[in-house]
Amino acid sequence: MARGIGQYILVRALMIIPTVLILYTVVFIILRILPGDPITAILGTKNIPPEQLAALRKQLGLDQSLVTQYFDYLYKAAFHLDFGTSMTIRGRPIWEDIKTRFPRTLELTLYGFTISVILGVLTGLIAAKKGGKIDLSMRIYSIIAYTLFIPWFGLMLQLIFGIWLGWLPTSGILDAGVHIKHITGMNTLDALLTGNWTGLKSALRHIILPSLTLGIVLSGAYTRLVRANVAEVLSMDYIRAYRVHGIPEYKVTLYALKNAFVPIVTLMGLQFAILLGGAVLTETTFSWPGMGTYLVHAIESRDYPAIQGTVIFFSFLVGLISLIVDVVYALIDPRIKY
Amino acid sequence: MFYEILVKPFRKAPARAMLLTGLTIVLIVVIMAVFAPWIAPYDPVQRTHDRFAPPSWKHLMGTNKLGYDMFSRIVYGSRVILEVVFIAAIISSSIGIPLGLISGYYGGKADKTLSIIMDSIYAFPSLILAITVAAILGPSPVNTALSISVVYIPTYFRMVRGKVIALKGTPLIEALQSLGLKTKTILLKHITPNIAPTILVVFSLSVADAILTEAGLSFLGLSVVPPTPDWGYDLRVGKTFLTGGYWWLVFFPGFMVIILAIGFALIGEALSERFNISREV
Repeated sequence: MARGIGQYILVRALMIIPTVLILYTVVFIILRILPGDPITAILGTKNIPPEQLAALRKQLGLDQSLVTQYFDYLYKAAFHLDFGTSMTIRGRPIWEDIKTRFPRTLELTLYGFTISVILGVLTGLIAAKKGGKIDLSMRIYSIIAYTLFIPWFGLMLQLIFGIWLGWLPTSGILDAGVHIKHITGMNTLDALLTGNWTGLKSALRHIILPSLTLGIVLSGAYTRLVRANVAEVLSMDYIRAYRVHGIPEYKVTLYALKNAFVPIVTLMGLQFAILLGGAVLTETTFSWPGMGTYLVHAIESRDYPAIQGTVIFFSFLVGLISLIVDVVYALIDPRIKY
Repeated sequence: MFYEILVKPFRKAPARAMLLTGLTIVLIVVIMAVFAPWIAPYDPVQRTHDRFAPPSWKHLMGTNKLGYDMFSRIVYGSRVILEVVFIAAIISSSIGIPLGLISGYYGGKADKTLSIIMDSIYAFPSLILAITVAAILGPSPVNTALSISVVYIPTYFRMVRGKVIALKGTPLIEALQSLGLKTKTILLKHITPNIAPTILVVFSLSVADAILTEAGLSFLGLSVVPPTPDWGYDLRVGKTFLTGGYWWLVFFPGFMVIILAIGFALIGEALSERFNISREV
């Protein structure tokens, strides 16, 4: 078993490579075949001295053949975490930006993820257990939650809790003047680790609205899935047997939930990718300085290396998440062969 | 006629109610788009003297900073979103469905390669993919439609391919093959009708999703050129004035996006229940 799972993880890990390669290739091709030269995007089109043009082309590696560019970038990104340098703040390595911004996105995503799982499992369980009108209202909840447009919902929360009631901040990650010593880069965690209570309070106040937005919107999919799976398990003979033997209802529900867990884990993996996409909208809505706003800024300033770097980083992340899901899957379900 | 075909088969109450609600919503928005010049009281890009006016009888949804009438912008905005989403749905289905049919039917190495590519795109966060493509193509309705269609090609492909593989092993198809029918005939005359309900479900659900994607792209400033009336773009503009408490600038545009998405989601939901199709989450 021990060797088996080790091998399985290794094989699955190797399968990330084609995913990342495909996405890299797509982005590489799109960025190069389309009209618009990054050089003119940086310098504008007005009379640029040819020497300066040539120097910049060389600096960005655009003087090399496409094949060389393709493999050169790949090599640097894979072995040196060198995703190139930003064009807007000339010479700033993109990896540096990713290092400071990704933990913030991860933090927001983790909070949103937790909220969506808790809400989704609760509503799904209620729907499966109660049936009838409650079941129908939970189904409607799942449709509405799914179609809640993130910017709209986020702005409504800002309007109500930030502007009208004045309870919570509407943007940013910390109050002015509050500092948290960085360890992981995730504010709430770092504040907790350093015992910085004012910092923790400030960070938590800032993360409530964005993570609620993300969490509620994504909870609908869990409601649906938990409802379907728990309802199926609850109708099985062994559950009836439990009940006949007088096992308390909450325990029976727990058993049912446990058996409905495998598809839920799959969904968690899929949802994580959707969460990352949703984070772009959430971050923009709440001016949260993470990877999402980074990508949007890069796009606004036509910073091609930054766009490419971000997309490749995301594709690696998606591959990694699906690897983790598959491993968890294999661990919790003994029927899965690896 | 309409009732006989569309509504009657939906015997169970919730499915029927969902279908009717969904159809009503979509119909209202389509009417808004088609008859916009008659419905809208003002020109959507004409400045009136009222700036930041709250909703009133004169301006049902208020006015914005430039004095544009928000109700008129909402009415005209339905045109952009419907146009973009339908072009996108047509592009992605007309690429995804045939590829899925052929790939699933023939199998082999080409099928494997295509599946890996489609799965990679499918697993990638769709909004980030659409943003990247849209950013590179530049803002215009057709470009936005193109970038959205990229996202949904794998959805059609995967669903159709899966169905074809399941059908391929059935006695019906095997019998047709042994009768010596042309592959083209089998695919078009016998397999396609069998997967039509699935395609309908995928179509309405992916349109619901595409509405949110289009609105997301315009919210990020990647879809239309101002001052074109567009719900997502108007929400983006409204956001900058939120601290002033001008709630009507954000409430209405976003609300319309959600209502339209719900409309298509309800149709998809009702169809999947009617034809007993387990929808992929």
